[in-house]
Amino acid sequence: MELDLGLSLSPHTNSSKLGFDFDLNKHCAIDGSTASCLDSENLHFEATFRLNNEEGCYVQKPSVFALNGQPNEEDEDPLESESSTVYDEEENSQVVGWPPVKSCMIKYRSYHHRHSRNHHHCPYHHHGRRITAVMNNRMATVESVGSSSTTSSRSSMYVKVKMDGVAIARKVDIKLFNSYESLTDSLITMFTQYEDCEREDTNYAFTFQGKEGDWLIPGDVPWRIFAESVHRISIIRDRPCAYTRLLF
Amino acid sequence: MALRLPSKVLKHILSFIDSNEDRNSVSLVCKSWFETERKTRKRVFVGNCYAVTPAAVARRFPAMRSLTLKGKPHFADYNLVPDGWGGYACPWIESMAAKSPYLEEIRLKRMVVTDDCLERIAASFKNFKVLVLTSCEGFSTDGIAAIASTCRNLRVLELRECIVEDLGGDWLSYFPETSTSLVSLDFSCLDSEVKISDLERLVSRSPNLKSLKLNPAVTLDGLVSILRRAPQLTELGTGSFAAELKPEAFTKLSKAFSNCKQLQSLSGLWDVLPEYLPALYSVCPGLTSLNLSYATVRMPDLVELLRRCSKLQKLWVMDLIEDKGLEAVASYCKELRELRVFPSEPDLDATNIPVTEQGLVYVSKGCRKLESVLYFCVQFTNAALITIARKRPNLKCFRLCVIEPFAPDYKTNEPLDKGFKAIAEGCKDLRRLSVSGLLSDKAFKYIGKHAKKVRMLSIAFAGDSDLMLHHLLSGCESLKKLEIRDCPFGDTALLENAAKLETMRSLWMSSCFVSFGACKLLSQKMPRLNVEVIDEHPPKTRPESSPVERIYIYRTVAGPRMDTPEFVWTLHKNPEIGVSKLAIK
Repeated sequence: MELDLGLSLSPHTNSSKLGFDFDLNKHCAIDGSTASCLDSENLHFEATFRLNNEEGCYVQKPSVFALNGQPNEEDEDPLESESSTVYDEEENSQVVGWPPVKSCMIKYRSYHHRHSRNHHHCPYHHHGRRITAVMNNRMATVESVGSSSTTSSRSSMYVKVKMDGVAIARKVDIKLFNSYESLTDSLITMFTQYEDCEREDTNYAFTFQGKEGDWLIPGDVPWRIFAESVHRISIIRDRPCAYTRLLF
Repeated sequence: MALRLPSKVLKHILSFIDSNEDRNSVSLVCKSWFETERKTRKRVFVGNCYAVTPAAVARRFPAMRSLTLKGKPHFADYNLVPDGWGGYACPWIESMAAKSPYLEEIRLKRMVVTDDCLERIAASFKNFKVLVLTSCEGFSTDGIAAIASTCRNLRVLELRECIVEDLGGDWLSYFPETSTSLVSLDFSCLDSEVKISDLERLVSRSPNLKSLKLNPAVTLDGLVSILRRAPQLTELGTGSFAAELKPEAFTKLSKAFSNCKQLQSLSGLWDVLPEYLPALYSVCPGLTSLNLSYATVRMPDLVELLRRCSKLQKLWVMDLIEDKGLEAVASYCKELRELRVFPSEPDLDATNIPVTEQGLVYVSKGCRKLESVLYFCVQFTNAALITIARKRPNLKCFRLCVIEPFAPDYKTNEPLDKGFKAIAEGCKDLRRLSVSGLLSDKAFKYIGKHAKKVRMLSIAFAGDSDLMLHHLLSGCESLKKLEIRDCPFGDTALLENAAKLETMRSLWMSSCFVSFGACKLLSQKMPRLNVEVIDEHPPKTRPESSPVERIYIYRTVAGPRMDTPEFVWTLHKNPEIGVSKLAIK
């Protein structure tokens, strides 16, 4: 876009049209050998720039390329220094507004830092795989826990499991499992092992009771929520096995 | 004269032209076209509130129904503009109240808005419908209450990332008791709690409500109850997503979401616990926009969510997504148009890199419609940039922030010149570009030569010499906004390209090598530019050749502004320093 200013500055114009009070050409004694720029359209510009520095009629480069806008006392040319000295002398000085993230985001980041530490140690990250062996040993009557509502890590969480038709309830450590399948498989194994039932010819229906008392079907909620809040498990079979018939 | 269109016909033709750029071109054809155009323009956009006076705008566009104004320079977002710089909405509101009482919509960005201002809006515009404040400050919830209670036809009230003096949640109860015409409400930037019952009742009596963005103080329980009353929402910003892990709560939440069959945009998700993400699965297939930039969710959970979002067009996420997650996005989200990846930690270094250049390369390869990118990462390579340019020549906005200043290509130790050259050359439609990393003169020569459509350019910690600025100002034909920080650009390039500055909206330079003397000179020679020096120290106390902290130069037909604070120095204000030339309007 051409501007009718009477100045008509354009980078390709000759310097005589510059129109500023200073005519760069007056000072100009372009020494071809010092002009390193290969592009002729920049030759004039570069020469000007270099010339002005030599003449001292333009800005002196400040002593230090200070990032926070405060000039420094030292006499070092920052452009030749390593990037590590870009920052201020003090180790902890931060560059204002860098990286360019809006303050509303930074506000919430610090909130996260303060409040989300505990989330990094959620028990579900540490589920063990040693299911069967441990289960067979652990029949101790540790208190069933279901009252804690935080996500702090706990070493074990025993829950009562009652299979219908079986007089004695078992307790299992939910923390040893990492999915509904592994839990239900193990429970079935446990009960069939001890109750001497056929595993293949029965359908097992699992329900569990949460803290509020509602009975829910596994799969309704993601495993992790289940694992934190399950209080009791109930198993219903649609074909009672021989042993239990004997009990009634 | 033959072939002169009757103004009625012209009016009719113009009624189909919405774009202001087109309308600006129309106004330049001849006087009668200028007249007809100005009398029919309804939506007025002023990109710099100091470029023109409110009175002039009101006079020129008598049919104005919608006004959009922008105030502070963009770098104000990153705390580079001191408080009190300016950008006051009041003079505009005063002027419009007197001259454009039929104004229905006001959209302000980076402006200072007071409660008085808001009350004036409420009192002056009888048919007021839309108020959108983005990155604004200076008002309290009392001002919001005034708008809520008085503007009976209010459709849109959005406070986006504003700094508001929060006097409590009462403002919500000020909406009229009878049904409201609210279509969109966004109060996500407010801190204090609103009464859930107030919110529930408001939602229930707002049958047209389509977009609702809650603040973090709204709990999950609150969210469930709101969703039950507003299943028609298309845009939702949740409140805090943390709560006790109860199966019942989860089921309720899940059900509430599954009833929102029209939900297309989801944001908020503060403190989201990964365990609750599955509650969102039902809405994922319909989502076109997902903002996870406040959600510190990590990898496997993120992928589980994202792989269900096959229609996603816009994704904002933290770098916790990692390269792996971006690879998944590339394969599941084929409709993606816009990607923003934000840093999760402010001080990342080479030992702690959640995402690398590879993540962006995956998305560039897999998402054919990708046109807008904002990517923060610790380091980059030329090879990656070249691949991105080759794969995605349709990019319109490319903002790369290599967090480590002056970081070279970490594999070859070269500057990132070749990479950005590929971007400038390959992406012919590029409108917006932000560069970072180690860059030499050459990079800017390429950008100047090839980036013909770039309108906005942001540069930080780059450069060898003034030549770089010269390349940009003399090369980039469409350049409208240039913002530079911490680069060794100085007087020569600025003065040499002074005329260019009148073709641009604005130039910002901070922590560069521009001297007060040059600013003075520029100011004297270019009366239609406002040259502002933003510096704590008065210019008198230093030699004219010493660099100033910040400069902001913008074209204007309004003359020098009268509301500058003490740390802004202009030739007009300090005539003792040089000849003052006031522009005549």
